[in-house]
Amino acid sequence: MKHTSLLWALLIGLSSGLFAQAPGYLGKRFFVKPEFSSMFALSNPTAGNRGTDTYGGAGDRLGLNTRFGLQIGYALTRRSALTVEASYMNTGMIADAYTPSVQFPDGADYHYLFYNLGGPEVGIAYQTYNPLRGSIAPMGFFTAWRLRMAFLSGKVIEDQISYYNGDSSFGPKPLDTDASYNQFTVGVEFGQNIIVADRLVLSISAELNIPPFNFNFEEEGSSGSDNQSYFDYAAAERMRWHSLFMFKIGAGYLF
Amino acid sequence: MKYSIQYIALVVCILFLVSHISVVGQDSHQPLVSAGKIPTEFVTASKEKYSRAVKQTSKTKSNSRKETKVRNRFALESNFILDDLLRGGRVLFNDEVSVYLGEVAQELTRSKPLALKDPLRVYALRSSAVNAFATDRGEVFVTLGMLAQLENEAQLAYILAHELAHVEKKHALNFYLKVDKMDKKKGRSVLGRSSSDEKLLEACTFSKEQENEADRMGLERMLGTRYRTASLPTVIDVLKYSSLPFDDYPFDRSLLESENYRLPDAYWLDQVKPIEGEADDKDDAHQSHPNLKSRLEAMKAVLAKHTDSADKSDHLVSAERFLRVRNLARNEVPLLYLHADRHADAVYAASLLLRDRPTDLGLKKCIAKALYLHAKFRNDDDYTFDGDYKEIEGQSQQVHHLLEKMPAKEATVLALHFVWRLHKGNPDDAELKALAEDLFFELARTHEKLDDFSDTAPAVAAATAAPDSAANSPTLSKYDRIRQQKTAETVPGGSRYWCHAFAGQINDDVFQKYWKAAEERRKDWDKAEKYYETPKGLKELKRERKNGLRLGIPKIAIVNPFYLKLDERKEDQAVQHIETEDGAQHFRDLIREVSSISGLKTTLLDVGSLKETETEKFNDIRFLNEWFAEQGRHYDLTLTPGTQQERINAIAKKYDTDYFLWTGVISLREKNGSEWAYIPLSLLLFAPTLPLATYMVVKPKYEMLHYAMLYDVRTGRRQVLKFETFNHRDTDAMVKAHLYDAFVQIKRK
Repeated sequence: MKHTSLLWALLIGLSSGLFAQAPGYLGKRFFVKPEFSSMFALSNPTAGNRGTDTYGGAGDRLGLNTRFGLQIGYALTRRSALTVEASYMNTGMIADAYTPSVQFPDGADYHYLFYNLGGPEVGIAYQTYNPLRGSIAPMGFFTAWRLRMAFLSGKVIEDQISYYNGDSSFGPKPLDTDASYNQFTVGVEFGQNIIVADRLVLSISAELNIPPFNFNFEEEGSSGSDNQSYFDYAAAERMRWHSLFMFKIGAGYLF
Repeated sequence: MKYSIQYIALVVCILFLVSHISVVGQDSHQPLVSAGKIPTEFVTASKEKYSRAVKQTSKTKSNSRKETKVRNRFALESNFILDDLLRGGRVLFNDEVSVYLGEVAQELTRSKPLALKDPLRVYALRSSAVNAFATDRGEVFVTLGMLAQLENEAQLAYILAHELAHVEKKHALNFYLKVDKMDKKKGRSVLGRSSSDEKLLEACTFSKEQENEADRMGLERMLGTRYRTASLPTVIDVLKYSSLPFDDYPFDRSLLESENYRLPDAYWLDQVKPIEGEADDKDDAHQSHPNLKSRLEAMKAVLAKHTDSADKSDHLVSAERFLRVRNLARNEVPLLYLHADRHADAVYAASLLLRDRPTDLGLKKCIAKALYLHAKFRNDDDYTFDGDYKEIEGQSQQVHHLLEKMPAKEATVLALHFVWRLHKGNPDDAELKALAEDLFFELARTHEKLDDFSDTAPAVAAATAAPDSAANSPTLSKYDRIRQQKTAETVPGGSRYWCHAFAGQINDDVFQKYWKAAEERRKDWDKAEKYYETPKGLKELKRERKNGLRLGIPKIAIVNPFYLKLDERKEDQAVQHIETEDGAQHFRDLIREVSSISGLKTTLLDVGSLKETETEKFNDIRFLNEWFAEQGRHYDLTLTPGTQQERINAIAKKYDTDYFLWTGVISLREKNGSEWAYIPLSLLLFAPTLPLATYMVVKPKYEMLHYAMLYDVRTGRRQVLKFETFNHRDTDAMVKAHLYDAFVQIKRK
């Protein structure tokens, strides 16, 4: 609560200090907007679907990458708005792992893992409204520049194990992976806020998100000791494709 | 005691009458205004008239489907265009002139009524053009310029009779049908003449046939009345000399001069161009009307078989009223010239009227305003003088020659000299004060110091201009000769004749006060101009553009909100009349809604929403729109009082605000162009973008212009709050958002 108050104070302070004008649709500068983003997952797995990776016989369904979010925004000027966003995403991830064989210490058991990778995200975006299209924040065509942090954790849904020497009688050793992953992305969004009624806004947009810091991941290791980096790699790889390009639809309320 | 009360009452009455009579006696001509109830056709929606016309057309079974379509299109275009004219304020109703015109028309229809569905309406049209025209709806318009030229009522009756024939025979519709048929003909080239030229010739021939028919029918109608027809051929003279002012007297140059200010002879022509008028036998192949010779011959041929009986007269309604109406029209003409920025014509026309009323302040003010505007235009660097005095015939050529030949600097002195004398005689006149103030500013811009001017009377030319022998006398020093030369420049007729224009005034306190105020204004002006060229100034301008304004005005009046819907895809009928009328109504509703949301107090002055009893408002809107049109034409000049500024000030007082907003939306549906290229491009580059490319091709394209200009109508100071084009449809949300933005800029402090 204290943080929220501070945030509003900051937003209001910013707006009245830097700009003194008439933004907002008919003077309504605040907006709250539940949003839903989605895109075909193509060959990638999703939360309930392993995509085209048919290892173990599952998959084949065309899945959707999804994200549910809530955006709170404030029109700073006639041409700009600042938004803070909270969202939740959940997707699927395939990862491999090796654990030392219980029976043969020199050997390793192979794990084919299907994770559910999900968690909350927070973001902040600066929207600029296109004057050539007659836009006045938060109405009309906009471009948003976004910073987003995802706090994800993986949950193993399926673990198909190939035992060393084919002997499963002693079972596998537990995975020593910390299945959490945080990802920072920068994004750009192009869209339009359409006023559909007095205070209601329909928002349609397309967004592109790129993680700037983990582009050069190398697939490392093939033994149990590298399971963590392998997990991180798989999570980064999956997230890169999950959020790269998404269509977004939202319905907002102005006040 | 009782006696004394009666006595006092009598004295008061006499005093009131005397003062009233004296005021009437001194009153200048007041611009003609509409009176009584607003005619129904002014306030009936054009859409309604159109749908009535369509119903009427559908009843006529003989029309082919194609013809019905063309007739409906004519009904659409003519109804909307004519209604724009009716509501534009240039048409007068129930005023003295229109009432008289109606009575003359009644004389014409008394013995031979018109076969019209609706009653005939005759209106005076506020235009200096010499013209009259009629519509198929049963309206006849006669311009004040035409009325000003006529000699008697019979001439007017003949002109009206001619127009009644156009109404009766539905010439406008027939011409439209004819042109439509011609347009649909396949283009071909015959004898090297282009198809369009052929079409033009054919259209002109058809039009001339209609005019001949109207002449013939008009004359027949005249013969059936008690109007004397012997003088009718003189109507042809009215047409022949219609390019001239309503009279032709030598211009009285003393109007512009004074004892100390004589304009050099070089500015006056020794001889003006002789009056020729329009050639009688002009080649009329490409004209809509037959040449004067053929019209006169046709008229004479009919009149030769006819002799006027003794009871015929040139005036059936009233000779006195004809003269009064003509006089009203003539008094209106200089104002119309002034409004049209025809400065020389305004000066000359007012000078003609001053012959009969030499002390009329209104006429003098008309000259003052014309000279003032002329000086303002001449001092404006962007202005190019496009007059050509050589084309002008008759005595008015003197004024055209003077204003054309006089350099900008001298034009300012000429205007200020005239205005200052008038202002000194009428110090309480706010308009003259405003003109004087602004002309002093122009003087400060063109003459940096008052040293250019002399406070003493000019030396007499003969006494100062030494003979050559004396000037070359060896006894004179070099300096004596230079001094003599300088003095000779300032004598009347010398190159610096103007320097004595304010002799005896320069050290006058009031004169000095005006000059100092103008100097201050000029300095501020220069400072502001320089400031806005500096990085700081540019930054401020940028900030202002970005953040909008804070005018702190709580109340405004919005004049005639404008809405226009265009469709570029329909080349022949780009204006979407019905959508425009509906859109205008909706735009007004949105203004009311946004005004209430923004908390800005607004009064909506709009002809489209007037009731029949709101004639006063109708007149107010007319004056405001004319004022706005003038400001638009003088946009590049510094602040200029309007030509009817006193009335505008009174209107501002009536509506309790000095701030009037002109706002409007133009919505354009664009033609799709080369977007189809997106499809092969997408296939070539990246096939998955095909849906997007297809969307780009089929997506309708719109553009809208929104403007909102706020004027302080007392000073002419303006704020352009909005003048933006958007690649977007004029949705309610868009319009409301931008109206709100403008209103908030006006309201917030």
